[in-house]
Amino acid sequence: MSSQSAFTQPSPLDIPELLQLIASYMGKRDIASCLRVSRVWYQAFLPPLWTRLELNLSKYDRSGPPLPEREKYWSLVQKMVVVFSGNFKMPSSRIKCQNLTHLEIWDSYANQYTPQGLPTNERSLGALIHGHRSSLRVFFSSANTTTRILKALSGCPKLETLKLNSQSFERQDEWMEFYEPLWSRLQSLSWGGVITTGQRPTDMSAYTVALISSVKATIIKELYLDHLERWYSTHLDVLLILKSPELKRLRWKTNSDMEVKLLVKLAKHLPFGKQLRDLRLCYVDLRDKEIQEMLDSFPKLTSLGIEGGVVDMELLGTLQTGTHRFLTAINVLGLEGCKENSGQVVQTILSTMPSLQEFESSYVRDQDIVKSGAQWVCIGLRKLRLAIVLSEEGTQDMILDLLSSLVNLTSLDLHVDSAQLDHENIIPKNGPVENYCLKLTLEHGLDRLKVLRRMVNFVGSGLMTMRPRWTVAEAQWVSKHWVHLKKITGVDATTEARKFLEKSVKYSYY
Amino acid sequence: MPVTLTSLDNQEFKVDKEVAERSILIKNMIEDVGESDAPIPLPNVSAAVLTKVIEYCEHHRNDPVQVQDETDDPRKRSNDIEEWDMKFMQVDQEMLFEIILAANYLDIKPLLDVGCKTVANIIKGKTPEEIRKAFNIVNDFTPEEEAQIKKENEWAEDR
Repeated sequence: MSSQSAFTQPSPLDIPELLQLIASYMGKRDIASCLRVSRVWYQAFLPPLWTRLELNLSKYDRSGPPLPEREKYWSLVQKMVVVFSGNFKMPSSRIKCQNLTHLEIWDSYANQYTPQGLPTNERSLGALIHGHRSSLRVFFSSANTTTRILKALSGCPKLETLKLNSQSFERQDEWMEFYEPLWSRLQSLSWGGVITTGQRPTDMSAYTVALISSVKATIIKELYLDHLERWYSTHLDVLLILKSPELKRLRWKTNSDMEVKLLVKLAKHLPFGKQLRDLRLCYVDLRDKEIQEMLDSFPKLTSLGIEGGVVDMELLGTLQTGTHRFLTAINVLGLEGCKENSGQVVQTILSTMPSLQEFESSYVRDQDIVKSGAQWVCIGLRKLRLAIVLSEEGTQDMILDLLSSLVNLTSLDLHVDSAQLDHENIIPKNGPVENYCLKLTLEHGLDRLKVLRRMVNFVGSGLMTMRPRWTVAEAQWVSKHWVHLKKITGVDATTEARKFLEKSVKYSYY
Repeated sequence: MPVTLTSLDNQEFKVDKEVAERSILIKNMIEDVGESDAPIPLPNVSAAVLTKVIEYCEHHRNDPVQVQDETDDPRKRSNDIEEWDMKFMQVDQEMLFEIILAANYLDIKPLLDVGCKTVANIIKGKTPEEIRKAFNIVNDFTPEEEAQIKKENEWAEDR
């Protein structure tokens, strides 16, 4: 073929960019083999191998090469994951990765045994951060970090993303000390932690209002706050939320009604929510008119999650047709753990919200679907998390047809919350709740494959202890061969095919 | 409106604009030049390869435009090739390489991805020597160098 070419084409296997693209589809073991193929390959495959470096200090002596050997590769490292176990001293001064942008710290030992965390490592960790201050963009720590570490992080001019899983402070003014140098400069902040005690102003609301007017706005776009363990309401969440005019995504777990009320009250007077696209809230009462008004004032909101709370038909009607129309713009909706969240509500949502792309709720009953008689209109649905309760005879085929009509569905989770179903008495007879929920395993017939054929992610119902789980490859195999299977078998596959498929269903313990 | 493409060996191919514009290079050229009947020369692509590339673009003419994956999962999967693409890629190695080069030159990202995944799948599980043999690559390391590289990067091999 190349005889007519005026020049000889190079092989793609000599072009470093293409080799690196190829490497992006391979695991480390294969990349390591590629390194040894030739000089050109060595140069091309070295960066993908070293981009992410895991320093497991707990097993360091056994499996890792001694540090100095790594030095010549360190400029390639962009992401470093440090796993501590116990009080291992990190050789910080010897680690110099001038291109390091991500640093993750996992310290399970400190998390489990010492509430203060990182007691002996804080100095070396601080030094590690300081040594990489000019390149660091993302920092994560699973353990409580100390003031020394937060100070080091404040000195990183490019830091954008900070995730502190359990960051405790003793006093709120300690937290405020880092407002300007750290929190307000970030694009994304995840903070799960506690402010344990401290001198608490008698009027927290007034204190917060005063703070709000005295501090400058943040540039935070994503905020994840998880403070379920808090002893006192400090309203610092409210401060962060309201002082972030560019906020696009907010996930807020709070157990304090007072805080939500304060947010709603103050939100009216502050430029809040104009950019908000994604909102998850916990224990919020959607029946509250003020909360409805607030949600309505977010012009860009397309993703909404409410945990806990109550959504009944009356409320849904109000939200869909009343003056508050925010629900019509939503395409990602989560009503997980809503109390008395009846199947009727779910059926109404699925048959009236055509723009829905992701939906999460607790359950729908076959009788809700039969009674309404409406088809599901959300054919663009990609993700569904919902238990389907079969309380009547012979409704399975209809349900399977409904599910297979969702042509874009690639992620399905039939998770059953037994406690809720029990509590609401929706199971008609005695016996385990799971026996009355739709299952999609091959044991229950190959007609299940119709639904499963597109799944990339699938979590079946069944007991909490054992879930049938399809790997991606298996689901793809099914998808690829389904048409053929159907042709040769007319739904009932041959014994041979069936055996093969059953073998490829793996069970994993939950 | 059809667009005319000319291969390296001066064969002309008439294809729908929509199909041709799967190639970002051609799309940009059309945008720059404006509507014109003049054939677009592709001096890097032979007729045989261009035929294959057009076949791919025809099949994928209605695919949505690929959005950059924002998740920072560095490990992409190579086992998610569509059935049609898999069959399409069942060609000899020379053609596979030429398709990859053409996709790279014409800037057809999905085709480039499929090509690279196919190569990754060939490499998977092979030793360095088997890889060299599969692609006819000459080992230009001294045995000492290769041993040194193996030693320095051994940690990766036991994952």
